[in-house]
Amino acid sequence: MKKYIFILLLTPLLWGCNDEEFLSREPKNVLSTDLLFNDKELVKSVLADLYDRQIDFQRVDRWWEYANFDYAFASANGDYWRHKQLDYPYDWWRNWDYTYVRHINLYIERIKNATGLSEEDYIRYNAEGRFLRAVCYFELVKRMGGVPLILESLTYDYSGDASYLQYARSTEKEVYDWVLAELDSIKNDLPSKIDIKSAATKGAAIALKSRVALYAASIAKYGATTPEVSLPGGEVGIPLSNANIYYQIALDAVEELESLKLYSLFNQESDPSENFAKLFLTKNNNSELIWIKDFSLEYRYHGFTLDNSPLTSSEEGTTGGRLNPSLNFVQSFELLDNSFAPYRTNDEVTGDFIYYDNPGDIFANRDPRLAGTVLLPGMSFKGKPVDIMAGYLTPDENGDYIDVVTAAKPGALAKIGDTTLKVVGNDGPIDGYEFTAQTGFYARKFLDPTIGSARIGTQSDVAWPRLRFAEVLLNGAEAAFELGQTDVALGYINRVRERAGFEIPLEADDLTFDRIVHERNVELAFEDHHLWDMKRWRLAHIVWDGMDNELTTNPLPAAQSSTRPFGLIPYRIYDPGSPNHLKWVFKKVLPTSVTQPHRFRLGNYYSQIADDVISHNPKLVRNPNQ
Amino acid sequence: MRISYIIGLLVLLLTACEYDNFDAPESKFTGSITYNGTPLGFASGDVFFRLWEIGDWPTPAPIEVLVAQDGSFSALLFDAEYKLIIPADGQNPFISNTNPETSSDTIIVKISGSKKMDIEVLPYYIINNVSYTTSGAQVSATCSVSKINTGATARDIANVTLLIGDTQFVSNSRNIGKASVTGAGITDMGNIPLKVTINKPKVNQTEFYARIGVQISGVTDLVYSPVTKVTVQF
Repeated sequence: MKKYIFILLLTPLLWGCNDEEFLSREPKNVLSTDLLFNDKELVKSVLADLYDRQIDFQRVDRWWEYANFDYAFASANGDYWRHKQLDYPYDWWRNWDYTYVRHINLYIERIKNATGLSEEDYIRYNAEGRFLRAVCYFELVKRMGGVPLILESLTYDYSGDASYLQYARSTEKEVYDWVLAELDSIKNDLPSKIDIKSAATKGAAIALKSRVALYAASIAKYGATTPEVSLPGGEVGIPLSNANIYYQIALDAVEELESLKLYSLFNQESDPSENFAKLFLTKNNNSELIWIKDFSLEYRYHGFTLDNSPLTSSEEGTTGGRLNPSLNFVQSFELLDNSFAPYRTNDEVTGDFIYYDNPGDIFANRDPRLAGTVLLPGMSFKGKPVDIMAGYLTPDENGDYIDVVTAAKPGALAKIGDTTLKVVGNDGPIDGYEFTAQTGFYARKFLDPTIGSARIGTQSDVAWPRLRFAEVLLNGAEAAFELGQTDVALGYINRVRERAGFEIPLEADDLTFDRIVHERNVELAFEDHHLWDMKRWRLAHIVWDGMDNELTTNPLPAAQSSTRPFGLIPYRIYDPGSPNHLKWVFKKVLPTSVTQPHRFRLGNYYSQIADDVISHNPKLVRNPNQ
Repeated sequence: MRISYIIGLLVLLLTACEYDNFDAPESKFTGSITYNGTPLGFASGDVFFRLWEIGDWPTPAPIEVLVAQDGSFSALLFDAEYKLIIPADGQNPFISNTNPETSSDTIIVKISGSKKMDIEVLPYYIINNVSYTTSGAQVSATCSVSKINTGATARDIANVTLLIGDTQFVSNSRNIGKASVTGAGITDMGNIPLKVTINKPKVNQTEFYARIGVQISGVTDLVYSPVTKVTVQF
């Protein structure tokens, strides 16, 4: 019996098929290269994928990356570690995405022979691919210094020797020069239309050129202050003699963008703070946005508002409030008379508290962009006032307000004498209680006031601005300032400041390097400029110097230590019968979760190339100081 | 039948290939970073070196060895020949010496059994004659600072800082009190006085740890004196 079964089992093996067509059928679930590149819509989808894979660091859908530096505190249990580690690892924010480079190169090579595209379509799609490749190399050179410039797809021949695929690093200057030349040569192939924002346009190419040239220029100029951050082969570092050439390229690009007469600063609301907040919430008819990463509620949304709306307006009950801007950042906004000052919490002479009638009074007369970027005590979101109050202060036997009555849960009640009242706001702050405003502040920029934006099932479609006109003007201001053209620089910077709500323009005497740094930091906060700006100005190792220094009392100078995110939390006085009863006072605090200052080492200026990458390609030189 | 399955499974567990069966490393490599035989002081974890095992490996990766705050290090290694490299030249408060064997800053280390080896380097500055006195909650210190590297790579002092810690890990980023004098503000390199008044901590603590650090301009890490216990009264 067993024998028969055995034979029966063997018989099917004797058959094979000689019908070759049966085995070589077209797959139904995979699109072949030929098919892909012969259809306009499919080419578009390939391109969309390349757009989607761009290299980013901070972005609106990654709120936590904003909390890595001194401008924000992460009020979430899973992110306190950002304030508990001293050193930035050498491999943080590094990138070596040559898979992406290869895919762009393949795309550029394949659309050349695509039959489904008209000549006009080909010119545009080819330019968009090259634009993305230029952006990619800019992102790589920002992080790694000079990288191998691979401009065609490389193929292994299976000979057992891959050494012909090993390319050495280009110099940092060569990569910057290549990006600048590439942007120049494609800009006229791109559409010049203001309503195209999520794809490459002529305006985006020119605006990006101003940024790229400015980076190269400042690395040349300020790199001279840190000669340790360079390599003998030029893979890192640009010679000082090139600085003015690049500043001029940047300035020319700004003028070229202006001559297109397409873009202008967003100015649709009479209240400058509201206007500044609305600038980031408006996608249509927004003359300022040049290039964005768009989101849609239907297909691709993000949780910025879900994660960061105040607890008082949380639509999911108990989540929100993760990103807390720091006092370091909040106090850097200047007064309306263009002067700088920390917040007055105590009388300079007597040391007594200063008593405010309303919680927002302490922030009065500040740069209107402050209230457009940060939710301050006393402001509202989605029609609900934020409720930030840390507790009541009661007098001791000497009448000093030292005793604190507070509670361990947002909105909790407690007894003061015989009275039971709410002693802590619904938004906190409670030290160590996640999602409460532990620095006393919540974030406002990008916060979506649409109903449903803080619901898990809906979320937000607020766009991420990659390039906007105000940045280009500030690029122009910086380039002109460095070239000694003070009038030109003043013209650019004052346009941005006038829109921001300043009535007194800056004069020639006011315009210093510190001013340029300050203006970028407040105008472009949380837009992924801070780290790269600090790097190119070679300020990062001075500002994040690893010292546990106190907060500065003069926020203007750029080259001073700021390593830990401080907070400014409001209390109320409980002292019936006293004129101070129910008035507001403020205390400067350091959240207890901040246990370590930040230290940016010289080796952090250029990220570490991974050991496995170097062992596969011995021609790669290591970055300095690691 | 079932038993034979179990035995079959057990047999599978007993066999493993030679390839992933080897002993753990057990040769101890210890020593200190020294100048003239005296260990230099650092902040814990600031200074490290890399060991590359010499041989034909498909994907070489270094072993990173961290140096403790008293300048000592230790690592458990396999018996082999290693290249020792102290990276981060703009980072460390010293410069690596040229090794006569390799004519570069690379040092060849042969490990067979445990080994103690100090690494001589050229510091920019060293701190000597440190003494502490306390009165009440105030800690006063004096020290002398000597410039060691006077060659072409010499650097200036950015500042000299007295640091007080509530644990024995004291550095410029981990302390509860500090006082410093800038390089330009030093009048006598042989006698630098510094004073810190310690704020009374919430816990009952009277023993603290003090050390002095020298920040060198253009260099990230500081060089420190040894950690000393000081007792104060509030």
